[in-house]
Amino acid sequence: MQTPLEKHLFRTIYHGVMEGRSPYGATDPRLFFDEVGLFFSALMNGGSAPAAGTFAFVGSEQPHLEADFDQWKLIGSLRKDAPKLPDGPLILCTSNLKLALCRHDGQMTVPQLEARIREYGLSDRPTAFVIPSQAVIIAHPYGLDGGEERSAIARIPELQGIDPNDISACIEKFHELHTLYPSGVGAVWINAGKRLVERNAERSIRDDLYKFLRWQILRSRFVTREVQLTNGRIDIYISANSSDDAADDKLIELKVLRTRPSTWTEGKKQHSDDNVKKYVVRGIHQARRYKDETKAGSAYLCCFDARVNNNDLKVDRAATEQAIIYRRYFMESSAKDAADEAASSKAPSAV
Amino acid sequence: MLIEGAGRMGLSPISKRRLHHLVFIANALAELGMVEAIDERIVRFERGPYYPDAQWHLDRLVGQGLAAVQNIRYESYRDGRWLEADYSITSRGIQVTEQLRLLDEYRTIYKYGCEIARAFAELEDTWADKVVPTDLTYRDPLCSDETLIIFARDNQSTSTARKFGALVYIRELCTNFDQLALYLAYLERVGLQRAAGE
Repeated sequence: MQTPLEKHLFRTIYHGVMEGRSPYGATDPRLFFDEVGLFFSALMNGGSAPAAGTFAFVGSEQPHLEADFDQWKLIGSLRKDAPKLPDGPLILCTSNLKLALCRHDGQMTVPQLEARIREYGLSDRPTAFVIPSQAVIIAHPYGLDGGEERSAIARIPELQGIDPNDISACIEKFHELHTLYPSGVGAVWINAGKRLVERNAERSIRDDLYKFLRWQILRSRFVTREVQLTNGRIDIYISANSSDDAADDKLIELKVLRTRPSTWTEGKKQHSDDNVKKYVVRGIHQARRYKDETKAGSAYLCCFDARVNNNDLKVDRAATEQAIIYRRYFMESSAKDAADEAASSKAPSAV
Repeated sequence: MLIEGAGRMGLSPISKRRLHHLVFIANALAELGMVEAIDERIVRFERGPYYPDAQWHLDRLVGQGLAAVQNIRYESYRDGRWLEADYSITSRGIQVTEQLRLLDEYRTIYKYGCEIARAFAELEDTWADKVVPTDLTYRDPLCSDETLIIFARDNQSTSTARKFGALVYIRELCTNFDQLALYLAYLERVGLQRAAGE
């Protein structure tokens, strides 16, 4: 039984979560992209956003010390007035979007904005392009000239219709957006033709799925990742808004299945399907351990399949015995894969 | 460190009054940041907390060119006139903090300063300066205005903030810094409720 103070405090936690408090620290560069994502999500929920032009958010640690500070027009905070569209397409802001400034350069495309950012000497800053008409954010964590590394996340209006409690449908949609060939926005392939994925593909998918769940769908829940337990780390944990009842909580364990290691070359050893199956079964037991420790109501093992062949691993029984919901999503890497997948009546396979 | 964090979180230039509020929060919740409080004593004034030593250091930073001061003005309160001004970090100040961050003993303090600034930045501007007067330590009913409040590390502010962690059964869901941010949000909400009731 909660005391009145505890109830009051709990409401504060609840509202803190609802307002989108980031789990990152103030000095974590991911905070910037998380805030842009929340802004984007609020913008889309506002309704008029698809008609808006493209925006570029450029992170600045100390905007008032920028060389041409006087050339920028003060917007103020984009946090509380998130759905309001800024006047200009180029926005210079702190990582928490508390202080934002813009330039009135008229509507511009992404290449035009890139040229303008370089002209202003801001190409080494973290930058996020928000394209409302396509429902896409393209993030450059190390700036436009900071290397090839970038990521994109999309959000489509149909997501509104998905039941937040239906995690399977949510992840199915994520799979379409993230990994479906050729329209998926995920960047995990080293060589799609040879079906080689990056060594850290699991981390990349986990981070994108986390953002996807947090931004788009489960705003009434607390989504967190890398939760440390005594027996390991849960990839993604979704807790209900009740502090003392875990029955409605859900945990997601992610695995990337590979036939070929990331360093594979022709003639080198590959993982057999039997070994991959053992790996999946270990994952099922791992998810069961996490479920037992957290007392979560349901646990998912989601396997993103980058193997050469799209065949079933027949782990249904093991999953049922451990009360784990097993899902396998074949990651298409060619138009042929996509066509095969579409032709298949049970794509992606699910138990 | 607090001025740099304030700039980073969009609070720059920060008023003298708000800066002393940040110093008070930093001292009261030092345990959450796992740092030593600079000063665990404060004289309670109507206008909010004021630390003479911190102000001396602040003025010295301005003299050294590490911080800039602008918009100097006087304000009147029941307990006297108050010199108000806005402070911000300078490019030279940034260079110094970047060097300090390389030292282990300052890294934790820097991070804590940024987290306080971030939690403060989450508050509505119109309420940010009214948060400290609702703080459990500052409005201790046993103390009246213009008396000295002496608080220990395990003060009421810290123990209330800790309550947030206790309410979440998976510890990682509510870190020390989350507790700090939620405590300030809680104070803001309490302030709003009081204002609505008055």
